[in-house]
Amino acid sequence: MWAPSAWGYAETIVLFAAVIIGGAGSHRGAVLGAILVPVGFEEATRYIPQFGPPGLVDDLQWVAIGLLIVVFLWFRPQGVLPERRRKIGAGAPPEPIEIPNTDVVTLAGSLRAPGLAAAVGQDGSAVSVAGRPITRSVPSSVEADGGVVLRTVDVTRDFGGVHAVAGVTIEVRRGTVTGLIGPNGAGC
Amino acid sequence: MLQPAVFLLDEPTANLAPQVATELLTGHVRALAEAGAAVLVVEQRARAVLAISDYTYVLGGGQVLMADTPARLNASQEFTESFFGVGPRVPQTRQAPKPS
Repeated sequence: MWAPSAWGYAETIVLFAAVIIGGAGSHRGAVLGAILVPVGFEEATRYIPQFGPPGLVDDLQWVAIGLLIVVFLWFRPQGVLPERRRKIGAGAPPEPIEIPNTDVVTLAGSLRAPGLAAAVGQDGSAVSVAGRPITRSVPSSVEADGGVVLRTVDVTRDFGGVHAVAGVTIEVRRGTVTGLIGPNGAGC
Repeated sequence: MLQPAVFLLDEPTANLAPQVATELLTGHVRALAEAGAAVLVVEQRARAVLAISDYTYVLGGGQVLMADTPARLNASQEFTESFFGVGPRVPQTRQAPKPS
């Protein structure tokens, strides 16, 4: 008979154990837990020889599942297959990158700025936004930079018919905070 | 740790409590610049940005309307009136109303 009453307290505990042991943060962990705990654990106890009073082995199985939950929560709360996270600062620290003073990233909306190499897409075509070519140069030795590491020249960006920015030229210098403010819809 | 040369912060204080936002800007964002990075901050909290930035661009209608140091922007009547609806922020001494 399949009825809601067939889902007992024990099934809930097994479900919890499966998720906790497999790993609540990943789908594969939950699947693995669902295989490991009910199949590998409940079914395996069938093959343990009976000893002691009748039903002892079956009951010990619940003790073992409870212990397993506690142990996992204590020592490996992320489960067997943890949630995949980007590792930040893991492993050997990367070598600091020396950035010479001439290394300026320039985004230009028109070809006004001399000396800029044309940006080329992966298929070799020129990159353009809203029909205007975007040039990008690394590094650029157009002019004395004065600590400028990022520069946009006459950059235009459209979203549909909305001109988000139209011909914006800004510079961001090393060792400074550069603010970009404006009312809503200003183009920031 | 990585040491990026450029930080592009797009409204880093969005949805933060005012005090936390101030701490983030005056503390952490400022520290990035002190450490030598180039920091670009897009912000809605104009006053907070003016307090910590070395140079500020004022955008409007997709164009750069003004660009100057915060000190000069604050002293500019055109800027403060258009942005905050008040004249230059000149400290004024207020006199207590005389008891009648």
